[in-house]
This record gives sequence, C-alpha cells and structure tokens, in this order.
Amino acid sequence: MFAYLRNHAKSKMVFDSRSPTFSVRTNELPRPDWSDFYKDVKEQVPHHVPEPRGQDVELTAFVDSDDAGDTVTRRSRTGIFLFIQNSPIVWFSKKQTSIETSSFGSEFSAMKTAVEMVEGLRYKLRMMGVPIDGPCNFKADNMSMVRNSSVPDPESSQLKKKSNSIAYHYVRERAAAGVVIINYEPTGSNIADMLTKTQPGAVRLSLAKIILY
Amino acid sequence: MNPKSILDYLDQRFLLKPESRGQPKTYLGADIAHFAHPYEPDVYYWSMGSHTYVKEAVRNVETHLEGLGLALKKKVSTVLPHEYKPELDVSKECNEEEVSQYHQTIGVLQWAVELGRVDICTEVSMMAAHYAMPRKGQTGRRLAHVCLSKEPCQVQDGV
Repeated sequence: MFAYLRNHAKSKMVFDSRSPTFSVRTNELPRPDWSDFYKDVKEQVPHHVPEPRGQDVELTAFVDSDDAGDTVTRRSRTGIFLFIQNSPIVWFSKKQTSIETSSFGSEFSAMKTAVEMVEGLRYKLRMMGVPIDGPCNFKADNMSMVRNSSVPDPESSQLKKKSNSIAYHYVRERAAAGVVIINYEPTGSNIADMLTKTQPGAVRLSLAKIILY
Repeated sequence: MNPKSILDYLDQRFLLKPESRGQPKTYLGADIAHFAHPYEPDVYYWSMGSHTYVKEAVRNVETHLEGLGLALKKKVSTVLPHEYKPELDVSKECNEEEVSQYHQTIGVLQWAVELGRVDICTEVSMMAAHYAMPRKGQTGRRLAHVCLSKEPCQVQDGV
C-alpha cells in the first residue's frame, strides 16, 4: 500500500459548490405516483428546524455492493459515496453484517445503509439551516434493484426473506416520501465500485480521477 | 464576516504569532489550499489534500524497512498485490511487537483515507478487518509492497 501511495500522489479533493455535474440530475428524473402503496407518506421534518438560508444544495449518492466478495464468510461489502453539490462528503466501505444469498439482497442491504445515512445528513443540514433541493439522487448499478425501488409495481412487493423485505420496503417508502430518488448508473462510471472490491490499477485510477485531482 | 478583524481584536489582548494569522494551510494533517478548477480558472474552491501526510508516512515506513534490509517496490499499479486475498492468508500469527506495528500502520492508513485517499479505502478496510489477530503474511510484503533492498524492485505487483 505504501509503495502504491508513493507512486500515486494525486490526493487533492476539491469542495466544489457548483450544481452537480453527474450524468442525470434529480430534476430530470420522472417522479412516479406511489399513492396506491404509501398514501400521503411524507418526509418527517422536525418542527424546530431553523429558517433555511442561502443557496439550495443538491445531494447525490453512489451506492454499490460486492456480492459475496469475502471468500471465507461470503459476506458482501457495501460502498457508498455521498456528495453535497459537487463536493464529496462521505466515503464508506464496510462488510455487511448479514449474509445475502443474491446480489439483489446485498444491493438492497447497501441501499438501506445509504438511505439511513442520507436521512441523517438531511436532518443535520436542516438543523444547520441549509436548504435542500429535492430528494437525494441515488445512483446504483443493479438494474433489478433500481427498478424495484423506483417503479410502483404490485407484483414485486412480495419478498420471502425477512431482511430483504425490510430493506426493500424501507427504501421504497423513503422513495415514495421524496427523501431519495433512485436511478441507474453503469458500473464503469459508478464511483462506489471502487469502495467494494479490489480492482486492476487502471480501472481504479480512472474512477479515482473523477474525485481526486 | 471577515475573520481578520476578529483576530486583530484578539491580538490586542493576547499575543498571537504573526504566522498564525492568514489563510489556513494545514488542518488535522490535511493540506488546505485554494484550488482553481481547470475549466473555470477564475473561480477558486477550497481543496483538501493528504500529500504531506502521506509523504511523511511513506518516509517513516521506508526508514523502518531500511533497518530490516528491505525497500518499497518501485513500480506498483495496484493497492494490494494482485490476486491477494487477506482473508485466505494462513501464515503464522504475529507476535506482540508485530501486532503493535500493524495497529500503528493501519491507523496511519485509516487517517490517510479520512484525509481523502478514497482510492485505498477498500483495501484499508479489508486489512483492518484483521486488526485483532494479524498474520505475518498480512504485514510486511502485502501491507507495504516491499522487496529486499538488494533486489532490483521492478517486478509489478508480484509478492
């Protein structure tokens, strides 16, 4: 690791306050009607938050999981990047506590962790009087998971495994409440990919270049 | 609000070092500086870097290895040696002194990640999972990417 650090010195992170320049912006995404599933569900905002002042900020999250990446325990790894505007704020890489039998399960587990983090961040920003512009834009590379959590579909709301089912309904309810909005990001540009697995040097550097200067 | 006026006011009552007033340069080991974006050279943003911290950490490791007759490899493209899986390592367990050294090294690497080295975040987390009982194979050669100082050190990523 130290030999790598010596040879790859690019390490500057820039706190860019411009609007996000990622592939799809929050206001470009369709807002599905969730009222058949979660009638009148809304994000809970504490009554004592200060009056927001200044420029609205947009939140973006990149989420990924490495399905059963640990060869001994077969636990998956969660990778999360959180941005406020164009500034990286949180980077997180940790093994999951449960063992999932499918990539769908491990992706949902990662998404649940990310949504919990975003809820905390939104609360913190509100308490500091920072206005938040719409839901957090979630980007994930598992099409099945993205579809299940962004499209109201009565056929897909039955899950047999309890932990999957909890993560699934938790994420969907937050999507319905306007806390998050989930869309697809290809693996090649999903920067959370580098927080889930070891990669060839060229792949790692191309992803790191998006954030480090 | 201009922080200079507050510092000037404090300076009237308490003696401040002249070099302590001005733009911040370091914060908790991170290099803090203005950054001109390549696409917008007129606009400045704040940036945080770990260059000084990492350089010093590498220097410390190199000094330590030198005493053991080892050196860091010259050409390395991946964070950990290719195909190395720390969870499959069954080498001998470290003794107390080696465990302590491992803890220190992991601490340094974790702080480098905090300061913005997101490119090593996964590997540091993978190695830190063996914090309680590191093995000899997980230290030295893998953690630092080292070879004997007499070797040419040109092999890419081999252990």
